Amino acid sequence: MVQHDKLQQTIMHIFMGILVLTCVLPFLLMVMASLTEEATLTRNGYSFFPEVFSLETYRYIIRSANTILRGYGMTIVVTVIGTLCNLTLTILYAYPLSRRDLPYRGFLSFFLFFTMLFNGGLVPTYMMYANTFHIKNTIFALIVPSLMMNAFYVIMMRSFFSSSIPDSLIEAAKLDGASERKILTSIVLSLSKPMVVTLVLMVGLGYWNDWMNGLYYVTDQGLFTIQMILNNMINNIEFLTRNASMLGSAAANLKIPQVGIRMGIAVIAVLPILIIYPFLQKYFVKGIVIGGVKG
Amino acid sequence: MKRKIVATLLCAAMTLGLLAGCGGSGDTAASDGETAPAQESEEQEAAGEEAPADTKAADAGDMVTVSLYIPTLAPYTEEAITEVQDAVNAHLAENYGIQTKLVYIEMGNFEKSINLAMTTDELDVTCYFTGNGQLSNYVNNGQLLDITDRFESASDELKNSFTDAEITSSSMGGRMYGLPRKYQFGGQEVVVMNQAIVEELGIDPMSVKDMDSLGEVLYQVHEAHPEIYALVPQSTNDMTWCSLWIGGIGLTSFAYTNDIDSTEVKSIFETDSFREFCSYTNKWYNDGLIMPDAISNTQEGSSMVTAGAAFACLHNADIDPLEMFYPNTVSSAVLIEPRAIPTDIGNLQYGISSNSAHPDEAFTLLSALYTDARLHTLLSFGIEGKHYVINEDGRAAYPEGMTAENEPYGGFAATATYPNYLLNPVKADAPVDDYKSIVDEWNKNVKVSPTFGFFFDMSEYGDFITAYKNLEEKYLHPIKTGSVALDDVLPSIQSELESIGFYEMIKKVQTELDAYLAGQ
Amino acid sequence: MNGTKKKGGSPRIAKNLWGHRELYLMMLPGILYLLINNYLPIGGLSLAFKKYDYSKGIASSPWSGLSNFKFLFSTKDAGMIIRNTLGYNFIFILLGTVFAIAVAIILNEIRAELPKKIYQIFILIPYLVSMVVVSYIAFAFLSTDNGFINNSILHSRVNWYMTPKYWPYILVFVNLWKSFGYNSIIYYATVIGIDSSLYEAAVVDGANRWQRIWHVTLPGLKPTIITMTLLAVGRIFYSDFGLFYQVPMNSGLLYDVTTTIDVYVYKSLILLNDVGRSAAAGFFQSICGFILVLTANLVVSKIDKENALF
Repeated sequence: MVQHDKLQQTIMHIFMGILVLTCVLPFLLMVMASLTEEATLTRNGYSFFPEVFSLETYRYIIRSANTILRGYGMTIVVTVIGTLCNLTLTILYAYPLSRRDLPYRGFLSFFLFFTMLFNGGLVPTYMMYANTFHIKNTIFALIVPSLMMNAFYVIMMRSFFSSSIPDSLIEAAKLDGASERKILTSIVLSLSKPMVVTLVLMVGLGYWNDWMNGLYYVTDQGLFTIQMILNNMINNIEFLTRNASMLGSAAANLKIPQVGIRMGIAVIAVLPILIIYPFLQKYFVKGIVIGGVKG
Repeated sequence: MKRKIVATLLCAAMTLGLLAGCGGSGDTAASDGETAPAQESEEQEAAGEEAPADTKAADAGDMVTVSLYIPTLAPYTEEAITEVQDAVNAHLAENYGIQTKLVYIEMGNFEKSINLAMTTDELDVTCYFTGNGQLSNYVNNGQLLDITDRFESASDELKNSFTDAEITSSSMGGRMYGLPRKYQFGGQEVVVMNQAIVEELGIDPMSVKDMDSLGEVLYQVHEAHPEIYALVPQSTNDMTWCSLWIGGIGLTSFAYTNDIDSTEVKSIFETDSFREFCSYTNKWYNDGLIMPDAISNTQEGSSMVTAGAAFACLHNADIDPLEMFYPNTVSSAVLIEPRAIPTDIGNLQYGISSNSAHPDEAFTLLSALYTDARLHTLLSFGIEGKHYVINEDGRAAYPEGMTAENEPYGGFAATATYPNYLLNPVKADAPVDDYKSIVDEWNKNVKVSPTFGFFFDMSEYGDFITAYKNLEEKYLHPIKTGSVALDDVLPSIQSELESIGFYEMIKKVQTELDAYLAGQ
Repeated sequence: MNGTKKKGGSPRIAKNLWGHRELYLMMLPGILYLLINNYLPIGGLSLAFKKYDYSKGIASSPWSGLSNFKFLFSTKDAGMIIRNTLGYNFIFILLGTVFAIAVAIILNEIRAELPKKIYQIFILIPYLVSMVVVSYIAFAFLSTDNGFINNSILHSRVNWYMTPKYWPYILVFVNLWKSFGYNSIIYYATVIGIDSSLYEAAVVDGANRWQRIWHVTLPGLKPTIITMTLLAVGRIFYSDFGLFYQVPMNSGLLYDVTTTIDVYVYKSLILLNDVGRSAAAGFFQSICGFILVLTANLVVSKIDKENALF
């Protein structure tokens, strides 16, 4: 039995090991490409062991500190504020929905779910935000349109609440005279840390990787995020393929960053997430849910 | 336990803050008149840097502020733009009694951004691109203001700046919707080659004067340097930017003539000159001369040539010599003499949004951009001494130690996107003393298609254009780069053309074109 | 729907609302936000039936009937486009769900804490990278001349970007590669939330690992599986533009296997700038998704009411 178990564990480790390699190696290839001298890249092709290393990519990034590092800062600010606000809204909507005794909860679920399928489209939304709320070129433009970026997160949170928080616990708290706010903050949330952390991760990622809001609502370079900078490059490349002829020789001035540089910016855009993620990871494993329900 | 308390507090604080915030925005929706000012002041706090500029505008009294949207690909900083904007505004206030807000947008995002901005009144004057026949869409969608009457009653100086052909290029149905950028039209075809290899193999660049002689050189290079690409696409997956260069002359976005003199329109896939061009590239591709990844390439040909990763790429050039832009390269003889086709002229224009709240002031700014040399220089080069300098010989150059990469305003590198760069001082590295006379001369000498001036209104045929564009995208680049042999796919192309009604459309174009030519 | 079932008129409603005022108050910010952000602009759907004129605005633009929808269906490629969109999505949902659940369960079964943590960190990497970057990575592997696969594995010169037959597999692989980490973490978060006393009871009953997975873990995952699948079904007429446009490098020769509704609409409207047509395409995708989800939800609620979405 023990032998058998050990074998199973080994197989699972091997399986996960292969998966991890599949996930990491492409990324590593990207990092290596950003460290390879441009000419070597075109001559020898992509390789995990480039013949000639070059830090030119990262020198370029440091030279462009004004745009790239600033974009970095903006990304961080937007991600932190956006995630906090988004999570608050999400939890406040999800918790009442999870309560089986809430009247009209079917309607309120549908009210939310409907927004996942239908939206007014870009132009009406743009007109509302630009004309009525004047959020163009403010930091709100990068945060507000994504405050409940995905009704799915609310639904996930709701499912978690309703499946993991025993009704009896809430009933007991109510009998003790606790208010709903008290029940939410001191009982429900403390039992839901894994889910909250998961949501922080997903919502945070959404903000970190977002460039759409920037594209639509921001023209002020001071508010560019790192993803916008990356996306601008792609759009510029695509534009050139379609329209360069009309620029004539001026197009020659407008240089597309080399592949290495694009890879380099992509690497630094992902790096912080990779650094922060392991710290959030530990909350996952603590198994708060189990302890909480028992107690 | 401590963590729990902190979390609770944080949560409560956020809830309160959010409730307040959301209540606020809810009110705004209900009665936006009342709370809007409060929100605006909040925005200014958040925007920070913008605040000084705004207060300044307020100080300038009741002058109207007209926004001006300009595309850019050159690096720039927000500070430099604010600085230039202040200088431009000082000049505008003194001479025209208006103010402007400069909005620079990355080239690749530009069309999306102005299309959105045109739905509201935030945009007044803007640049727009018409190289692919977009003018009819802009007009058809009601995006541009009809400026015919304003132009008629404008100063002679403005009216005389434009030729008839230029006015036609910005008109539809006899009404004017914008002013084309002053520029030369058309271009010529050359080959850009890596200098080191040219010297090493003793190639005479001037001996490359057509596809045959180019082929000879490419085989020679491939033999000596099999490790690099002998020929790469001009830009990403496009062998040449213009259909012009491959013989077929684009009359509209779907009708082509065989060469510059012909007036018989057909599908580009069926013109002899396209067939000829592609038979070269296909042979070269199969012999390993052309980059194998041509159709999935994302780099510029010229920068690969500069870097030594490739030997040559085709290039459509105009007045400025290419060596100026691409270090370490030499140009061949001219493969195709300067020529111009209908879509070449006025492919970048400036106009006024139909939703502009201040059309009169917007037109004042628009016309000043084409006539006021001081204003135009300020706008396109930036501030003298800071973003550019005037040398002793009166020519403009980068200030000491600055290049296209670190000059903060970015206008100097991208002068061609401004309305009338002929008003500017000539640049130090320019090959000529006077741009205006050179452009005039070019425009006089350029070989012009007899169809020049013909305009086919496609606004009724959106579905056809959609279907055609998809078809063209599917086949054009693979064939042009030689990755696919034309003969292998021609039957399926023709049956697809048939099924989207291409041949009826081309008949319509031919009828209209013949009528136009008869009327000339 | 619970609410509408209740008998009685407005006093009853008022009592219901007042009785749960604290809960409704909590939801108020969210409701207001959805009203403003999602419901206020919804009048824009009318654009699908209008010839939008910028100078007239949305309300005053003339109606144009169904003509905006024509471009989606008048093309001879309509069948191919819809086949691609639905086909890929179906495979993505099926493979994605099975694989993600398998990984989540394995993660849960692995006992060594440190490797478990490491696995969770690394399988999420692909999800963190944007599709544009994925397209560069894919190119680094697939480039004919410089690609890692041709150079270091096959030592041949396969023209990946010119051969349509490889792409259904490549696209499915890329999609799975990019999304399984994320989905696995969602399922894993649900798995660790399953009441541990259930497992203990199963162990007491003498259940082995497979039986525990079958009788405890999978039923515990059921609500999440249903929710995730229903949501995916709602998006079945949509496609990830980056995956189908950027990853194949917009190679014309691959259009037959890479053109989905979103790609087609993008390519069609990039020049036309026709607001009405893009609204029409979006409306079509929404309404199809809506009908599918309602149907699926109906089926789910017939079988298992508690797990229905609404």
